[in-house]
Amino acid sequence: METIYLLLKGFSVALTPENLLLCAIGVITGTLVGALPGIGSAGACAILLPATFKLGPVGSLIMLAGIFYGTQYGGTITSVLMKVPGESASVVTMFDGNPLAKQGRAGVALGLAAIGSFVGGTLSILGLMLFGPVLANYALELGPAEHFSLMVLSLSLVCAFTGESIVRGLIATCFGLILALVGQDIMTGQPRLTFDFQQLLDGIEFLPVAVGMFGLSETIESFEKKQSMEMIKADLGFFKVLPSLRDLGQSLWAMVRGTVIGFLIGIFPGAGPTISSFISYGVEQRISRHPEQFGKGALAGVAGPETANNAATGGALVPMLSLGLPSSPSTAIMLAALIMFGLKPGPSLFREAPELVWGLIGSLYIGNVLLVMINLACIPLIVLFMDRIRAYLPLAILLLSAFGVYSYRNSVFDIGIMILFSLVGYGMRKIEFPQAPVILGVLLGGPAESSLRQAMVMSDGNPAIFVTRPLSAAFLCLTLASLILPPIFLRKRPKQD
Amino acid sequence: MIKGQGSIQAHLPQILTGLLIWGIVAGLVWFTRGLPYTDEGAPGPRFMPVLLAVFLGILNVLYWVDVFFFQRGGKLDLPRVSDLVRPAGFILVGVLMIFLWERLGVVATVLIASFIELKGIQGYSWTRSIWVGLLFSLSTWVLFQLILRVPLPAGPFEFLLSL
Repeated sequence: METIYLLLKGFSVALTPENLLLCAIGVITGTLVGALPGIGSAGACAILLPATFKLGPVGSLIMLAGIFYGTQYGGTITSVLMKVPGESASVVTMFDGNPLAKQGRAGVALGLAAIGSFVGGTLSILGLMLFGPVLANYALELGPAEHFSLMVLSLSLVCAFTGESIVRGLIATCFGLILALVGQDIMTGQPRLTFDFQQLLDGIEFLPVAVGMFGLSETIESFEKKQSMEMIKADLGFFKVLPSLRDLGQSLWAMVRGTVIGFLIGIFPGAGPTISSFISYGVEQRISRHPEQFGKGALAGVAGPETANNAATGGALVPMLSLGLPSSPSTAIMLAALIMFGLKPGPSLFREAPELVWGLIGSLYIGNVLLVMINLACIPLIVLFMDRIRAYLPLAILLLSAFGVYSYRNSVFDIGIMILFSLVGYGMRKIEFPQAPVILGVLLGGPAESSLRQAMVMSDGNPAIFVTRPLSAAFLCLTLASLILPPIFLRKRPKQD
Repeated sequence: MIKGQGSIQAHLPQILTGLLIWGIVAGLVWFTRGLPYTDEGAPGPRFMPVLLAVFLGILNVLYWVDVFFFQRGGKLDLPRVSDLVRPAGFILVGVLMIFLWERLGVVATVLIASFIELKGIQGYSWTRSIWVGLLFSLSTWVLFQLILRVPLPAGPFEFLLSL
């Protein structure tokens, strides 16, 4: 009963004209960003974060969340029509979406994807409402030792799920944690690794690092690649994208399975929309009566993954809101937004800022309705817009990034940091080091060090505290398992295409 | 014998990456040498840097083992020098923006940067580059200065603000 009351309160926050407008701007931006190859949801969130400073925490979070789940919708368009996924989570959609488009059924593929995304997105918010507050209540009991171990687990999971090599993931995590060391020491106030730069006394700001690594480095890479982007001409009017009842019937269970898979995988740090879409595709292919149709235009191959990647966004918000743990770069940026507004992300957020949490949940429902309407009715318009803006996108990204980063502290130094990290991000892509762990390391480095040192103070400098407290020990065991098991399973699994 | 022993050149990027990581490890230890390791019995400001340096050192060894013994990440899709011209140009435009930002103010900076990016890197016509540059220049000013109220440097055009 209390949940329904809080949800209604959340709707009253989300339905104010200002928040409704921000939600609409967020989801439209997300759809366009998702459709444009060269910039992902994390990059877009990072670039637009400074522009949301004036909006207050609720408005800012509503807009950023809109971008986050809007990208999962938008990525489908280029996957189906151009065979160029706008987002990594839409790669799988390309396998069957593009053949469907070649068969003259582009509208059906896009319509099914939009409806699947709506189903996955909406049901996963129900999951967030049910699990989020419960998890937050448990998390309130955690001490510094458990907090530290939980953060270590979270970082290790990101390494386990991101990229091919756990070692490279761990190195990237360490790099992020090292960046978080820069600045005045949290307990003694002594400058550390500041190299006599006044600007570094407050530490390396999260924003320029995130914008550089995710916003600009992708753009730099897009200059190097010359992708062919030939679009399949299709009639995408409203009635052409509405799937028939038969098509919907064929895809219904794929959507249900996609929702469950996406939500559960989305909860795990590092897993997120991309992995959930791949797993959903694998499951659909395995249980299908006609597996030979996959790759040639199977409807379940579009509906399942598209539902899963949107359900994962709801799942990703569970650890973010209830534990204060980011599970992806995009949620890390939303957490950074909360910190910049002076809020303390974590379990106490449900109690201390209910209008923010429930306002966000309310806006997620509204945003999903807006998105399915936009995606069913405005696909031709989105395609036309993408075609016009593509040529000026790199310049627009550079300018928005520079202005956004500057407006945070009015510091040109931060623009320099952004350019530097765009190079670092580009270099990391080239030598196949994942970037997500760096961002999470920068964000979690400070709190992790603080928890570590508080726990050690409590135990008079005895590190055994991390293994003698049951929950902390359990988290550390899971950390070990997350690092050891994936390579073993990968080695045992026979090589498949 | 190490599998990749004969192909040091093939693994040059990974060798250089490893050396860079060793540099970071050494830097962490060296540049925090003046800080206390412990603070009243509890970990001090140097504790975390040294802990991370140790981890990073171990991971770097594992990285090289991964590359040389298991041949993972051996074939990198590195760009040719000619492929790097446009990305480098784009970065230089960013650096130029930093240099001009407070000297010329943002309106002129954006105009110059946009023109160079569009004409020099993307190869558009003079007219198109100037018009789009002007459009970007004015729209960013309106969005950030007038709507979002970010105090942007106006440079020599400061007088325009008082009009």
